Amino acid sequence: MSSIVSGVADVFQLLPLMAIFGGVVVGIIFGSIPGLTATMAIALCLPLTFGVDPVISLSLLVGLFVGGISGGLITAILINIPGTPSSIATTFDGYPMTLKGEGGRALGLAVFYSFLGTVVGWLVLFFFTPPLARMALQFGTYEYFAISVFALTLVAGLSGGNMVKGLASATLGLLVGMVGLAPIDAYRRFTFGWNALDGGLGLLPVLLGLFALSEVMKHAAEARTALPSSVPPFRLKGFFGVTWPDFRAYLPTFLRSSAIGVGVGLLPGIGSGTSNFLAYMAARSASKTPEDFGKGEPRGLIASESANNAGIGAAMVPLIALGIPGDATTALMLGGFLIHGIQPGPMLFTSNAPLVYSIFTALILSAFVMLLVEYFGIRLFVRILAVPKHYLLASVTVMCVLGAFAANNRMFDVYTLIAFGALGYAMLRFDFPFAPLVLGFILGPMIEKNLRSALMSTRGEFLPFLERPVTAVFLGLALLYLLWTVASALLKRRRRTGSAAVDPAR
Amino acid sequence: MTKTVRDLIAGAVLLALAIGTFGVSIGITSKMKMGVDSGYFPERAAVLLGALAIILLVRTVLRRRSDAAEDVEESGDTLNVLVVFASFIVYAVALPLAGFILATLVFFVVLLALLAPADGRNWLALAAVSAVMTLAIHTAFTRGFGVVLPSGPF
Repeated sequence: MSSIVSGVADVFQLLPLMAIFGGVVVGIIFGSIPGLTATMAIALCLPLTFGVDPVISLSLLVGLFVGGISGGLITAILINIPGTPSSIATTFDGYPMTLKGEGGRALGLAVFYSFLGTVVGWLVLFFFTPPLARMALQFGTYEYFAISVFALTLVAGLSGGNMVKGLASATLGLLVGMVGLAPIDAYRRFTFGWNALDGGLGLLPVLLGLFALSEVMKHAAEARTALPSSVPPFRLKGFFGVTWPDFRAYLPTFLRSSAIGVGVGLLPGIGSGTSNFLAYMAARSASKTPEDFGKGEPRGLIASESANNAGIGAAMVPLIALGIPGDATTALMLGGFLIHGIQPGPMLFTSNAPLVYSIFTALILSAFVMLLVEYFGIRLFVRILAVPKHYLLASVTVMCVLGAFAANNRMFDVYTLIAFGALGYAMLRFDFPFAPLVLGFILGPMIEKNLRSALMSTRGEFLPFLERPVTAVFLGLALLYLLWTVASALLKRRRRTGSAAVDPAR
Repeated sequence: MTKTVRDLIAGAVLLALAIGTFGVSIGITSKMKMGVDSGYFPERAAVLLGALAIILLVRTVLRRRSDAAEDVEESGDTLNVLVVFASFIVYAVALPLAGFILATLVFFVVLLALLAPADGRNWLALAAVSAVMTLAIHTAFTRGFGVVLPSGPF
C-alpha cells in the first residue's frame, strides 16, 4: 500500500506534471501530423530524458504515447488522412460525418471515447498486469498464426460491397508485405537486386502514400471545380456531443471495442494498427444497420478510437510485467527504462514498486490531460476546414515527404511514398478499397513468420495446430466468419434479384 | 470511362501482375528442410490474385453481355493529376540535389498552383505562403524534431 501512495505522490510534483502535460501536447501534435507518429515523438524526446529523474522521464514518455495515439483522430476526421496507423478506421466514418457538417461532433465523440478507452486500458494495467502478462506469455507461434489469420479474414467485411476487389486488394497487400528478406531463412524476395528493398517497405510511407498522396491527386482531378472551404457549424450537444441516451446506445460498442483493444494490445507484435480495424469490423457485424457504416455512423468512429486507446495500457502490461516490448513504441519505452538502469520484468514490482505505480498514475493523468487539451482544442481543430484545401494539401504533402524521410533518414522511403500515392489513386479510380491492402500488408508477414516457425516445430505437419485450443478456436472463428460473410452476401444478392423481379421498374 | 471498362483494365492488370509474381516465386529455391520454404506464400498469393483477376474479368464480361446501360464516369482533370504526380517525382529527385529549402520552395509554388481553383491563383499569395510554410516546416523539423534534412550545395 505504501508503494502505491509513494508512487502516486511522486507524480503529483511540479516537474512530472509538466512532463505529462508537455508530453501529451507534443504527442497530439505528432499524432495529428500525417507522417509523424507516437513512436517518432518518443524517439525524438528520449534523449531529453537522460539527465532527469526516472519518474519525470517515464511521465513524459507515457504522455507522448497517449497524445501520439489519440492525436491521429484529428486529421483522420477532418481531412480523411489518418495521422497514425492506429486511426485508419477512424476515417471510415469520421470523415463522412465531417462531410455531413458534423465534424465538431465527430471530434467530440472521438476525443471522449479515446479518453474512456485509455481509462479501460489503465484499469487493465492497474489490476491485471501480472496474470495477464503470464497468460500472454503462454501464446506461441501457433496462437499468433491463428489470431493473425482470423484478423485477416476481416477483409471480407472491409471490402465495401465488392468482395472480389476487397480480396484482391488484401492479396496485393500480402504480396507487398513479402518484399524484402523472408522470415526464418532471410531469402531475398522481389528485391530485384536492389539493396534498399532488403528491409522491406515501411508501413509509414505505404500508409501515407495510399491515404494522403492519393487524396492530393484526387483533389488535383477536381481542382478547377473545387468549392471554397468553410467551417462547419460547431455545436456539441450533451457532454462532448454525447447525450445520456447516446451514451447508453453506444455502450455495447464501446465495451466490445475496448475489450478488442485490450486483447490486441496485450499480444506483443500485433499493435494498434490492427485493433482499430478489428473493432470497426466487430461493430459493423454486430450492428442491425451495417449499411450505415462508412456513411458517418458514430459507432464506427467510437469503435476505432476506443480500441486504439484501450491498447495503450494493455501494451504496457507485457512491457512492465515481463520486459517484453510489443511494438516499436513500447520498445522505445523500454529504452526509457533501461537508460535509468531499470529493468522491467517480474522483479520490478519488488525492486521498484513505487515507480510502477508512478507509471500507472502518469497514464491516467495523461488521459485526463488529453481529454482537456483536445476538448479545448476542438474549436481550433475545426478551423482547419476553413483553410483553403490547396494550402492544406500542399502542406500535408511536404510533411508526408518529410515524415517518410525522417523515419529512416533515407530517400528510398520518399520514393515508396510516391509509388504508393500513385497506386492509391489508381485504386480510388478503379474502386478498390485501401483498408484490406493495409491489413494484408501488416498481417501477412506475421502469418508467414508464425506459420513457418510452427511448421518447423511440427516437422511440416498441419494437424497439431488444431490440437491447441486457442489456435483451433481462432481458426474456427475465421472459417465461420468467412462462411457467414459469403452466405450473407449471397442472401443479399438473392433478395435484390427477387425484389428486382417483382418490381422491374426499379 | 464506364465501370465495365475500368473493371476490365483492373482485371487484366491484376492477372498480368499475378502471372509475373508467380514466375518470380517459382524461381525461389528452397533453403528449408522442414516446413515450407520462402516461395510457398508468394506462389499461393499469386495464384489467389490470378484467380480473383479471372473472376473479376469473367463477371465483367457477363455483365457486359447483359447489355445494361451504364453511366460514363467523369475522370476529372487527368492531365492535372499527371502533372501533380510528375511534380512529386521531380521534387523527390531534386530534394537531395538542391536541398530542402530550395526544392521545397519551388515545389510548394508549383503544387499550390496546380491544386488551386482556376480563379484562386494569386501568384503573390502563393509565393508568400510557400516561403513561410517552407521556412516554418524546415525550422520545426530541424530545430524542433532534430531531423537532419538534405541541405544540397548550400
